Amino acid sequence: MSDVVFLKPDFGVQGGFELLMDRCRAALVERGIEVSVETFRAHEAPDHLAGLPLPRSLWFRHPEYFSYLANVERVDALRIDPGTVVVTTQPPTYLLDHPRVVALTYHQARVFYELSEAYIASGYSPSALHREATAQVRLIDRLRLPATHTWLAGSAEVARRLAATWDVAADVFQANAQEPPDREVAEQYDPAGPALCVSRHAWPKRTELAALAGICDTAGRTELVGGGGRQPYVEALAARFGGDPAGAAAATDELIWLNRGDPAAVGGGGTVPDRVRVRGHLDRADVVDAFRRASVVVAPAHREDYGLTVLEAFAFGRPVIVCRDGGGLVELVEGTDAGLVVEPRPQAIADAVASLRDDPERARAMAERAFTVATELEARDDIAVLVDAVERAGAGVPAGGTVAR
Amino acid sequence: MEPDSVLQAVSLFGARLRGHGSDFDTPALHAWLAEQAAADAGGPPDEAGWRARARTVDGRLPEPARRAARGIVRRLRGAGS
Repeated sequence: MSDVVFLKPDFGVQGGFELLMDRCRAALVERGIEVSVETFRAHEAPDHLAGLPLPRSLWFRHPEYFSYLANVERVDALRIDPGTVVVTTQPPTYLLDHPRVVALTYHQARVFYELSEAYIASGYSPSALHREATAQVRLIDRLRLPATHTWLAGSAEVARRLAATWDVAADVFQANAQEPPDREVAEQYDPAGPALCVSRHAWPKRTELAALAGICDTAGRTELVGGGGRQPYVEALAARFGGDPAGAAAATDELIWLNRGDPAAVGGGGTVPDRVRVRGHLDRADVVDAFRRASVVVAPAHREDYGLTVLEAFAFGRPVIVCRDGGGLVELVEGTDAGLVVEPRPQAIADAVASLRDDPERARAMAERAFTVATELEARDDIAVLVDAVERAGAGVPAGGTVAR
Repeated sequence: MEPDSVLQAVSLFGARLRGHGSDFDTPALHAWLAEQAAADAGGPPDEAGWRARARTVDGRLPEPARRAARGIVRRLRGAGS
């Protein structure tokens, strides 16, 4: 029997969270704690749900909803030794009823919580259907939420969401999930370099804002790096406003990102100006080169759980521009003197980029500060919070009590 | 697929997962679910509206969506070459 079981839904993808979990597991193993992983296939539509047939055509009417419910049932069916500490991870594993759960939580089922209204506004689901689904998910979560031993939130932003929606008091577990600081790149800082946005083109990453900011900033250059389903939309938007910076500045949120990303809906022709490069997915070495050239990193996402983009930019010694509604991104930038927080509008981002380009000394100071912050973060024993929670849960000591060592 | 039945089914499945009763837990809705499931077994499901979503939304998509997205990509590549 393992000391600790990580409960991880298998969504059939490998992303940032999977890397973070691997790092947590390795850190626990280094401390002599035996760790295993319990998983379940989370991405398949079952034929039946709650004892009733689940027609595939019904599933397609709201896949997020029925997928969530199916996974609640899968979590229910798990039987894990009560003597083991279970670290739950993604939704809905936090609903596991077990006496020794450490709920490592980076987000709830977001489209049913903080993104619910934006989801409807973007046309991803009919309003009445999504509101009913949202109400049901929230009821299910509230009524089934077990007496979890310890809640660990991946950021203060997530801790606030847990407190607001579930009255849960969570400790913040801010993991070093980024690459180690890269002094060589940090020392090659050029305040005249292009602005850089590194992100998948996906809702609600809002890379459209970075592209339109590049259109507005007629004296600068902008590079967008990353693949994703909305890339054609970003390119269409940049082309439509390529010769019209004033139009880019005035574009509505509905046109920019509160939509389903259909490039045909953008309208107008136009071409993307040379000063804005939408480069798509790049190999890691090319991404590092993009950071090397960049004067500033633009991270325009809406209500992020954490802020890996900020941590990565800091690790390369680059200042960051985030939006006021950026959630965890804002949390990492505020108070560091290594970035700027602006309104989520193309012109506001363009003005911030230009302000750094026009004041190279200030830009250099922020870049140096960014690298210092990254170095300080790297030096923390970030895993200690998780180790402590696991030890308390294992010893049956209430969260916040004293563990005999 | 009638919108009212879809909404009722969303509510019914939610109530069952909570272990609660529901006004929609009726023989009529059960019959409708069985009828839809049988119809789906005879042909491809209606994926309209879901395809665009699968391409563009951040996060982890259920497998049917990813399969649909992959199929679309394959078809586009085939058409473009």
